[in-house]
Amino acid sequence: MRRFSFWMLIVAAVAEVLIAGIPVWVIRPFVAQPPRALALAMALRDAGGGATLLALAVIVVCAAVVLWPPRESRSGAAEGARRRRWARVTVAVAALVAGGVATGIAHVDYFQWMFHPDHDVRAIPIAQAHWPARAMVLDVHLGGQARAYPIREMGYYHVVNDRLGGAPIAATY
Amino acid sequence: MDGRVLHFYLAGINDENFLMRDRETGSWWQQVSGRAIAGPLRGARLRLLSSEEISFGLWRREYPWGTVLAPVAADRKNYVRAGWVKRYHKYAVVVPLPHGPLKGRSLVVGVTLAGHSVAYPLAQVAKQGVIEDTLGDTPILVALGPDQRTVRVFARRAPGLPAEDSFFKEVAAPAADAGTKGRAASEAKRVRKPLAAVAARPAVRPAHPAPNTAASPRTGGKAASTAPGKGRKTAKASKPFTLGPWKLLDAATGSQWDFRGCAIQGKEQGRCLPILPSLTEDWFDWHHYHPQSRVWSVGLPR
Repeated sequence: MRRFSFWMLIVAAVAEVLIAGIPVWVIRPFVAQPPRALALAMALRDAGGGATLLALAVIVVCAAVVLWPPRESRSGAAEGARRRRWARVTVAVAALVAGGVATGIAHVDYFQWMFHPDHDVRAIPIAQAHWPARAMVLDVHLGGQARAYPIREMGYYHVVNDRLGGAPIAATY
Repeated sequence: MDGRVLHFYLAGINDENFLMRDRETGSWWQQVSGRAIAGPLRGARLRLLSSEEISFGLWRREYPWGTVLAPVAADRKNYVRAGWVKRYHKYAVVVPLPHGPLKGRSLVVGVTLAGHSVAYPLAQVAKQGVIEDTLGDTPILVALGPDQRTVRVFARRAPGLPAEDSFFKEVAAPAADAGTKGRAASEAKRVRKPLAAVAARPAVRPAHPAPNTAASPRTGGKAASTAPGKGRKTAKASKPFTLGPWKLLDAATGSQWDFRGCAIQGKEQGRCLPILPSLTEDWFDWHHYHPQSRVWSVGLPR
């Protein structure tokens, strides 16, 4: 049972790292995203929350079994038993840490940490906008209204949920 | 989308074009195509509204009643810096590119009409000022605006006009005719300088815009802006912004047209050319999503 739990612990920890790590690795800038890798990454982002929690539960249970105090060991094997116990403790702690971190990554939308969305989208009249005349803006006109989305502003978070001329629009760059 | 309002957030990147998701369904959307590539709404496409990249100086002259997205104070320091396009040129392009003179991160003005696509290298547009072309069976006109930055694409067949017309641009106002030659020459010299390679072999080498030149070709004009708001600290001496006179004449009647595509003087006065949607973006991305697109170049058959 303890040996089985030990290996399950390792399998669950590796699964945690892959579930949380593959999307981070695949969806990164300045590299190509092969379609199948991207599909896998998106699927893992979608299913990652539940899957990492499940794997974390497996890790916790297996770690408990693995770390349960051993029965009285035979005197001649005391040194070996101590070494094995240290190996078990090391693996269990590493699995718990990896599982915890991976579950955290799978549950947070780290893009929103790296780039902050505009939660309070507002428009101001031209007189209050202090962009240089040469600054490029994205112009949208709709329903008798015109709005400028400064490129330097849009180039940061890239998407703004707005309303223009009574219609809901997403300005993207 | 189908009567439901979606709210989007940044969710990743796919071949150098960003991915967004909607809060309502969690579907994944490709920014440049507006298409859902995964999730419950996979296959759906957002309706594309007409929009254009335009300099703030020109925009506020055209839409003095318009409004501007307010900056978020906390993120001001995070906004991309002026000239950031230049920094991106050093990164490798990650999608396959066809053999050709255009580099992956050269900016192009892309137009799609009735299944036909064409890319106009921005450096060429900046150099020529006006480009006439035909896309499918629509005669079109690509014009650089009075700010020397904004590019607009028009159909050269205005409602009411008998047939396709031909246009040419006058560099300076008639009043300044005496000084035109000198200024035009110095302008050409300035524009050609960073495009030495293009000038040397114009027929086979459409463009590799020197990064900053493509985005903001210098005009050699004065730093003052004639747009409303003149006098504000809007232009630095190193990067002049001008909104001077801009004249486009048609060959058939000699009518004068403005950058909105409307005839303001002459026989055609009151008529307007339809503005066609265009997109200024990196050549690699345009090609990635429009693999059949041709590239406009001087001297090559259409």
